[in-house]
Amino acid sequence: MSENVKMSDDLKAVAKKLFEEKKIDLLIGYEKGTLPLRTTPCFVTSAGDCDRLVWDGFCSNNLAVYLPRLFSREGRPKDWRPPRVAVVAKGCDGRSLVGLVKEKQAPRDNLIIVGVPCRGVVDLKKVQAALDGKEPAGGEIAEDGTLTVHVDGGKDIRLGRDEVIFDSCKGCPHPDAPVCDIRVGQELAEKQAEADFGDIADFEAKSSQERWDAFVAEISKCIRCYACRQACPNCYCTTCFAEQTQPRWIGVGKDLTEVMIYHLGRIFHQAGRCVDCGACVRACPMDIDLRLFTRKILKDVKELFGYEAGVSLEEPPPLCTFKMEDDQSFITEP
Amino acid sequence: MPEIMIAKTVDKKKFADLAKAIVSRGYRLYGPVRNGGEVTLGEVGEEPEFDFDYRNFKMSPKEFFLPQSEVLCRFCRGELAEDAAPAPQKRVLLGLRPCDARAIWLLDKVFLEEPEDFYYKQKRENTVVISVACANPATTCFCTSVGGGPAAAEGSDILLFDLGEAFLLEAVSERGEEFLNQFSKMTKDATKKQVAQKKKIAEEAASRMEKLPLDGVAERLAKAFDSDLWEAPSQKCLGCGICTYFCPTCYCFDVTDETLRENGRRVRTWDSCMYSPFTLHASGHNPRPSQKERVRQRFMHKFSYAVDNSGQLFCVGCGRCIVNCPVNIDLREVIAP
Repeated sequence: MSENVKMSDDLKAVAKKLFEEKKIDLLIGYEKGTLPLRTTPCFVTSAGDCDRLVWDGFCSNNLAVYLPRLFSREGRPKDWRPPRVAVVAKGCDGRSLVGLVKEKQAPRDNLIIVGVPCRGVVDLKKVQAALDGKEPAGGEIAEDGTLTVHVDGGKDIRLGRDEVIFDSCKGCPHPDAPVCDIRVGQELAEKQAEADFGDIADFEAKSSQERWDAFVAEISKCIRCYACRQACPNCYCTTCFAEQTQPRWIGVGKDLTEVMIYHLGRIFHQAGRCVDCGACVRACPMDIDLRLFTRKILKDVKELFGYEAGVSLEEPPPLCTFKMEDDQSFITEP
Repeated sequence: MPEIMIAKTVDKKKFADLAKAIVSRGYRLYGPVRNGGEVTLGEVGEEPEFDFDYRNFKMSPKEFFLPQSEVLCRFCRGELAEDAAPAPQKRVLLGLRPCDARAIWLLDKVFLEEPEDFYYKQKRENTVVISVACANPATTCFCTSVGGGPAAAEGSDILLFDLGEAFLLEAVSERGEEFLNQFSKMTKDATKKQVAQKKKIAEEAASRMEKLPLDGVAERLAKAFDSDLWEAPSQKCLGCGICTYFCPTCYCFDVTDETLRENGRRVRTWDSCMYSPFTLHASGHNPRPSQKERVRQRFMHKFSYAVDNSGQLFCVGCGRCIVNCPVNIDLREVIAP
């Protein structure tokens, strides 16, 4: 039995047990998608429905994104009781869940984190690029992460793990959910070294004008579909400043000034909160490298406050607390 | 499909010359422009390459008729400051797929029937649409299920077929015929054999395509308004605007007055029924309070209300919403019986 099949079976068993023991009302996981090499989020509400679940390297969505709306009291009666929800979580998704609990978007008591070990998820755009215009018909991931892609009327194509996983998965510091209630499968022993941020060194080395030009070049591709915001578990504001009308903060058009303010707002609101799951980049249909900017902020927060988002429920968020030893170099004499 | 008006051929090697002649006649020529692995419809440069081997443009060409953001007028202290946008230069859009051309034909039903939309009409009348028949549809294509086809003529002025050595250009509208006649010195009449060859291309492509069971879909969905059909897709829908922005037939827009001191402009922008503010009333009430009502609206509009309004499904089977959805919501699955 392949590792993926066994993992999926173990997950199904865990999910069934949770329903049978009446511990949850809902489990959010993944099921097979309609397109080759894809899974799709699935909402399971009974033990009998658990056989739909799968877990493999095609499970790219961050399922934490669904929690704020499940637990929101807006429009619900006063005596409404929040559901008990289990979520299948890779390392990054688990960190997002921790963030949501800390920001009071999900009650910890109503949440069961089902951790799955993640060796990185497959970036379909990379697969597509390797197929040279052909369409994939299906494929499997071997234990070592090698992806075999079937092509209609052609030979199978084998692609190594590093060739096909998302950039955000390379050098992932937490392949397992740091806070977890039930673990499916073995925790990954080969924890990777602490992220070195080498990937943004070039960007940091640029002059401020060059950095601005790089930012403008990326952001100019934006079509304002808001997929980056909608895919992000951290973006749960009931009304986004970008769409607020009274007062209106930014214009409605596609002028660079409007698009830019939206992105600056979104990116800076991620300080101390972004777990670098890459959901924004995955959702973006225009291939904007949004991580380039959030990574820089991630690094700044780490250097300034020694804080890493989503790894502990207790540690207070850096921008919500003050310590005497906090860096104060930004305070300048008038 | 209309009767063949005229069919001409042009040698592939001479196609670039034809393109230059088009530009020298005062047309702006937009065609396939490669950008990495993707192909978009853009203004073609000095040395155009015309291979039509891409499946489709990344984004639909609706931007050329209904721009994502368009200034309708400017005003100053409540007075119109200048007339509406000047008439665009005449232009040729080359390389659309017949599905996207059909989408323009559908948009015509919205914007060219009373009350006519001045801004749309102006662009539409100044544009010659040359579509390229599909020989190699994608697995996510289903044009034949929604009234179109790999060589369907609706919305096009000219259909282009790749015959190997030459391109066959078939006028399928009066505008297309007038256009081709301007370049008769550079083209030859198509032979009977070439016409037979083009028919075969279209038939072969159509035969390979999946046919969805969509008979009576409008009535079926109308009855399913209150059913739990909408639960699964709306639960996982993220509420982004990708499906609507990539859709060649989604035409919903918003009109906003943007002012700075005494000066202002009225801007029309794409809007999306997937967004919560789309139906938000000034009172604060939202008649579509959750993603369920929004997802239902999108499918009902395309496959039920549109049929009531204009007798046509407002989907052309291009598959863009399927390919680009971040959570793999598949329209084919949602509307399946």
